[in-house]
Order: sequence, then C-alpha cells, then structure tokens
Amino acid sequence: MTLYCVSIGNKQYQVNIGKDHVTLDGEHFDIHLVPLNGNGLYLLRRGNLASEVYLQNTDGSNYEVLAGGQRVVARVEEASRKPRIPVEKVQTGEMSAPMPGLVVDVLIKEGEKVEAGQALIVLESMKMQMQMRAPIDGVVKGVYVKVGDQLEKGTLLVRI
Amino acid sequence: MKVLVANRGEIAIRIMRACQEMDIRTVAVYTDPDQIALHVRYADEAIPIGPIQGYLDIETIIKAARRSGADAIHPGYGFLSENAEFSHRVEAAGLTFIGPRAETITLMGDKLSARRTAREVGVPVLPGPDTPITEQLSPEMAKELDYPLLVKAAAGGGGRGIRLARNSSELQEMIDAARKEAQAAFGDGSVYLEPMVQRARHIEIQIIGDGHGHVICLGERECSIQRRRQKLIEEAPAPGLKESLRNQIYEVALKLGRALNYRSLGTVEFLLDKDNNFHFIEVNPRIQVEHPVTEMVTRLDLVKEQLRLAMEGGLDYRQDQVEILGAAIEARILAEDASMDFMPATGTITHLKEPNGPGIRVDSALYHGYPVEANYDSLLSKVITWGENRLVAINRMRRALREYQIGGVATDLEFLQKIIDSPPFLAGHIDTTYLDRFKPKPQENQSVAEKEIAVATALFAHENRNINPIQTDEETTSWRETAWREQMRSL
Repeated sequence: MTLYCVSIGNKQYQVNIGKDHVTLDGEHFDIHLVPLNGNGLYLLRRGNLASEVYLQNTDGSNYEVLAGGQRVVARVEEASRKPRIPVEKVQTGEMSAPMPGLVVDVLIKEGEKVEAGQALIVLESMKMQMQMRAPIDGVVKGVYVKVGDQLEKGTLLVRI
Repeated sequence: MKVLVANRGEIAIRIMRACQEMDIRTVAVYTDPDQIALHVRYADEAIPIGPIQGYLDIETIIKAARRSGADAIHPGYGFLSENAEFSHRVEAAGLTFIGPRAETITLMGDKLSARRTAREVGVPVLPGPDTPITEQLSPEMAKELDYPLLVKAAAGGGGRGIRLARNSSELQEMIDAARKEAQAAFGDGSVYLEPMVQRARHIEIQIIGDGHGHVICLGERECSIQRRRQKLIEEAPAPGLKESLRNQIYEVALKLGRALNYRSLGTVEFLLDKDNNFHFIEVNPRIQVEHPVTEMVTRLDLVKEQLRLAMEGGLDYRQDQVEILGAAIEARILAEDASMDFMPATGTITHLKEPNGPGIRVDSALYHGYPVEANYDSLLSKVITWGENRLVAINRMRRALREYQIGGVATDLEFLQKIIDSPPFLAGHIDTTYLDRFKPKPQENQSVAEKEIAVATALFAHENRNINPIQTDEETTSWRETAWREQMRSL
C-alpha cells in the first residue's frame, strides 16, 4: 500500500494505491487508465465514464493534467515512502515483469522477428496498462506468459 | 508568381495556404529561434533573416526577396505591416507590396492624421484636437477637462501606448507613461487626448478596394471582448445591431475608403456608445488577426482577394454580391496563465490535439515540440466556428474549446469557455470593459470530476516512481530502457 496526498488548488485528496485496489479518502475508487500513445495520453475509465486524459510530470511532484477541456496542475506527494523496489538488469534479450501485474495482451509468437522498441506484452498493474517493448532486435526464442496470467514482479516474460 | 511572406506563426501559414491554392510559390523568412517553425516547413523556400528582431529588418527582408526571386511581399499583421517606409522600399525595389499604398499607410499610421482625414470627409470622430500634446499641461488646464480621458500614442497600434486617466491629478503621470511606451514601441513619443467612451462596443468594418475608387464593404466584426486592450473573442455579425444603424456604419466606412481611394484590405474601427452613436477610432491598413470570422460569414477568402488584387488589380465582386450568412466566432488561444494574473506562459508543447468536425476552423502554428518562448507575442492559435445563427456558432465554440488539448504550457482555453458560457455574453450584452467586471465562475458539471483527476494523477505518479527508481547508480534497467524507448518513440 502506498499513500499519496494529491493537492489540486486548495483541495487535498488522500489516495491509497494497493496491489489491486485504490481508495480515495478511505473509499474504494475503481478507475482504469489505458495508455493511448505512449506519450502521456490515457483513456480514463470509471464505470461508464470513458474520457481522454493527458498526464505529464512537469517538475518534482507537480503534474499537468488535461481532462474534459480542463487543465489542472496537481501536486502528488508520497505520504509514507516505501523502500526502494529493486530493479532488474538488462541481460541479452530477457524481459521480465518490472512489477506485479496481469497479462492483458501478448502481441508476439515464438519464432517471430522483432525490433527494438516493438511492443510485445501488455501488462496491467495498479489499474494502469503498460506496454512492454523489446529491448533489442532479434527473434523471439520463448514466450513464457499468456493472457490472464497474474505475475509476480520479476517473472520472465519473453526471451529474444 | 512567387510571394515572400514577411511574417511568422499562424498568419504566415494562412497566407501561404492561399498561395498554395492559387499555385503561387512561397518564400518564408525565419529568425534564429524559428529555424524549424511550421511556416518554414510549409513554404517552398525559406531564407534566414538573423536574430529575433529579423522580422522588423527591412533591408534583410528585401534582400531575401531579391535572392529568392520573389515578385511580391505579403507583410501579414504586426511587424512591418503598417510601416510605410517598408512598403515604399518594397515598391522601390521593383516588388509588389500586398497591401494598401504607402501613402495610405502613412496617413492612417499616424492616428491624428487619420482622425483629421476622417473628420474632413464627414466621419464622426470623438471630440478633441487633432494635434499632439506638446507641452506640460498646467494643473489648471488639466482641471478643465472632462474625465475619464484616454491618453493615446499618435503612432499607436495594437492597443499599445494607451493610458486611462481617471482624474486631473493622474493625467500628467499617464501622459508620461504613454509617451514612454510609445517611444519604446514606435520610436515616436507623441500622444493625444481622447474622451473615454463609457460602456462602448468595438465594432469594425472590413473594407476592400481596388485602388481605383471601387471600394466594397464585407460586413462588420464585434470585438468588444478585450483584456488589457487586446481582443480575445471576435464575432460577425455584431449581435443585436439594428439594421439601419449597421447600414449607417457601413456607409461611413465606405465613404472613408472611397476618400482614401483605398487599395487592398482594410478595417475601419469604431466605438459604438450606449446611445448608439458611433465614433471613428482608426483604420488598420492590413489583414487582421480576426479576418477569418468575416471569411466564414461571407464565404470569401480575404487573402486570395488580396493576392488577386495585387496580381490583376481588379475586384471580382460588387457590393450586391456580398451576402452575410449565419454567424461566426473566433477565440484567440494565448499562452498565458490564468492563475498568475494572465501572465504570459512559456514551455514546450508536449501534447497537441486540435478540435475538428462540422463548422470548425483552426489557424495555428503549433506542433508537438513547439517551444513557447517570450520572443514573440503569446498568440498560439485561433479557433473559428460558424453556425447558421449566433447560438449554433457559440455551441460549436464550446465544443471546440473542450476538444482542444494543449499540453506543456498554460493557455486561456478554460477562461475562454467561461466567457462564452457567461449569460451576458450569451445575450450579446457586451462592451469593451466586460472582462474588467467579469468574475469567472468555476465550471460545473465537468465531464471528468476533480477526484477522478486526483486518483488518475496518483496512479500515474505511482507508475512513474517505479519507472524512475530513486537510486540511479545502477546499469540501465529493462524498465528504464523501456521508458526511454517510449520517450524516443514519441519524438
């Protein structure tokens, strides 16, 4: 669980982000962010609401948000900093899950030629989707996950 | 035919678009900070003109025209567009100046000689001498005047060099301030006094003439929504203007146009007071920022008309062929921060999505990566909407402003939405001081609520934290590599 304090104007919100749920000021808040262009544009889904949202870290804890014709500057501060998550090192063409999450899509098959930067796997974590892209050019030697798998951090995804 | 466009930004592209449609080759000029600007990319050829001030450098621009083999120069608005010396030098170099004759620019560029000319042909002009204030006003003299008074620069333009004096004790201070600004902006510190018309509307008439006595009127524009004397929203036709009064103003504008034997495009600006008396302010001898609203309701392309006049010398239209259809509105998208008292904002455009769909036009020079700097004015883009009536045009504008996504720099997009949603604006009850009294209300019924924004931002920040671990002394990680590639792809 990570607790964030979000300030917009003179209002403050407590957002608690857990492994698979989010609360706002103590109440369950079901929201999804689907990346649209890899450049900060997301589809925000909540119930029937579906709206484009642009998010950008401007400096330090400040974020710029464009949503529904508004431009908002929000400040996000971590209320209690978690210990640093150890990170994976790049070896040859091995890709592993950078965080715990759900496999939403597998975009390649074994034996396929891929280029560095090509999206291979789509993971969803903390209600946010992220595209896992090939670190190098090469041929896919193995795909070790399938759609619907719930992964631990560090699970091997693809070997190129 | 080849035209050099001595301007930058949206208007340079607007002019080149007209050229493109007429199969005229285009030459852009660009200063050091504008090397990859959109107008440079749009033109057939592009020639550097040095540092930031290059767009004001007559010598260099004429050299660029010669070097490129251009036949004509279009000055756009601002910069050298109202500089009589420039139009003289262009024609002396054997090139065509796309605009009025130099003598018209000279006569209209000095606001006092413009007033005198207007008065002579019977155009109603505000009372006051047609001469600049030469000496210090004695306190006795100052007390005899009626207040509030405007102190205006004789060489003024674009709302610069104007000060409001509310009483005799601040008059001298305002005269000094206006003088100083005018000297700095126009190289001429002469100022004059004009009574301040209370609750006036700004109504301007678009005229076009062939330089041989044939002048026609392309309707009016209402430009009363102004802040710090800068227009923010313009529309055509002027809401609630009686047909008889409208025709009267047209007639007066045409009278002046004919007296000047007007060539090319021009705008005759008036103040309309609350008793429906109208008073001449000035003539803008050039294409204007707000020309698209006239284009929308007349279905004419004003830049093409300018080009055609310059090439062939004749007007294709008669007055009875001009018909105003529906209503159009323009909103100026400026880089400014409403939370910082509308100070100009700077930044880099990191995200851009323009509005689209029926009845919407966007004239813009923005691109992903555009650096918004303080070098030039803060106009980023213009949104123009058309509708079969004013309300339809306003509803389209509301949609367009909501659709417009500009990331990376603060803009007035939300402020514009609040203006067009305000009941007095909707009712057409506006005057040039409307924005001084305007207290924007927080928008209600937002499609995305603030708490949704709060949670989305926290989620985004949470992910970002994982992407960029606090400690960075390790080798590149797969996750960071991915994030880096992500960024590279978006370049």
